[in-house]
Amino acid sequence: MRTHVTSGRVLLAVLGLGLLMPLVARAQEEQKVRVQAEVVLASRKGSEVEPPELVKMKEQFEKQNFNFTSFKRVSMEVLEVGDKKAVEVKLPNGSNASLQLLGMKDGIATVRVAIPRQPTLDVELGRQGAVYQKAGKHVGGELILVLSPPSR
Amino acid sequence: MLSPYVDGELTPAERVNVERHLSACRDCTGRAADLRAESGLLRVGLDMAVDDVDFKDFALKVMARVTPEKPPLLERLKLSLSEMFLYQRTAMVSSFATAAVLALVAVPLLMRDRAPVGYAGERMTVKAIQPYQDARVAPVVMETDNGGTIIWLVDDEVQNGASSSEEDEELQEDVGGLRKGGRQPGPKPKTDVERPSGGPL
Repeated sequence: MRTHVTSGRVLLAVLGLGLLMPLVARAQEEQKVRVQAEVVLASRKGSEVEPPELVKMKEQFEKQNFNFTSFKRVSMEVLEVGDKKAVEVKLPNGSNASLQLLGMKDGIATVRVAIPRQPTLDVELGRQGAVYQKAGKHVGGELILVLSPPSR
Repeated sequence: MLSPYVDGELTPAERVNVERHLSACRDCTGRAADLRAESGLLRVGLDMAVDDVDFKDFALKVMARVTPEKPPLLERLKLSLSEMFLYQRTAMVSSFATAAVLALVAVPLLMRDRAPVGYAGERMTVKAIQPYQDARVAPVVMETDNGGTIIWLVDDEVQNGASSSEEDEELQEDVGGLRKGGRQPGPKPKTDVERPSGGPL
């Protein structure tokens, strides 16, 4: 009987360790956040909006007095941005945008976005909204990098 | 039959039979008396022998020899689990089933309501803007009515060369899609722009 009680305790200890170990390992891992990065080509050539979800973006730009008539999505990906190494987004004009996690405070991550010959931004991630950053010229239009929370 | 009779090992019926026989048989009565005497002597002898023996820690010594060696941990765990399933099968199965149902229901709920890592903030906010090296113009920051932020940089070369009236029209084309009347960037040129930080932009 005594042996069985001891075995039960050992079993509980092993189960407890089994639950704790992944948590400890996770804490030691590199901090990462997921960011949706979309590259859109805005131009005044034509009136194509592709895909149609970009209509909202077009409207927002019109309200800010931009006169782009065409919005085309070039790429869209969800990036795992870490604090050790910058993650790059390839732009069709040959340059790269790089994103790196600067830190995390009270559950809010700050990501640095750097694009050659464009201002470098420190963006605090949030559940709503998006950041539209000009990312350079391309085939007669302007590339726009759109950062937003990843869709669930 | 006499030896079990003397030792008191017979059933009442057998005992009655034996006693009936003994009352009629002197021979057997004598043998029974001998057996009783032998038994008494043996008991006394054994009692004397036992008195000489030290029985202190006897039980512990016996138990030490009886208890088997400790099996390996894995074996003990297996044994423990198998015993739990053998003797408490219903309780174990119902516990596992409850845990599984809870996990199936609770995990998706928790995952749905929980914001992804790093998204504790209400909305995406630009906290700081650092112009690139040798920048001559400051970026324009516009807030959209759906909580978005547009960061726009009017091209350097346009700003620098925007002196002749001939180029004015081209400027409107090249300022990056901004219409006349749109919010224009701050003072130009700005070679040593301080990095704004903190607070709403």
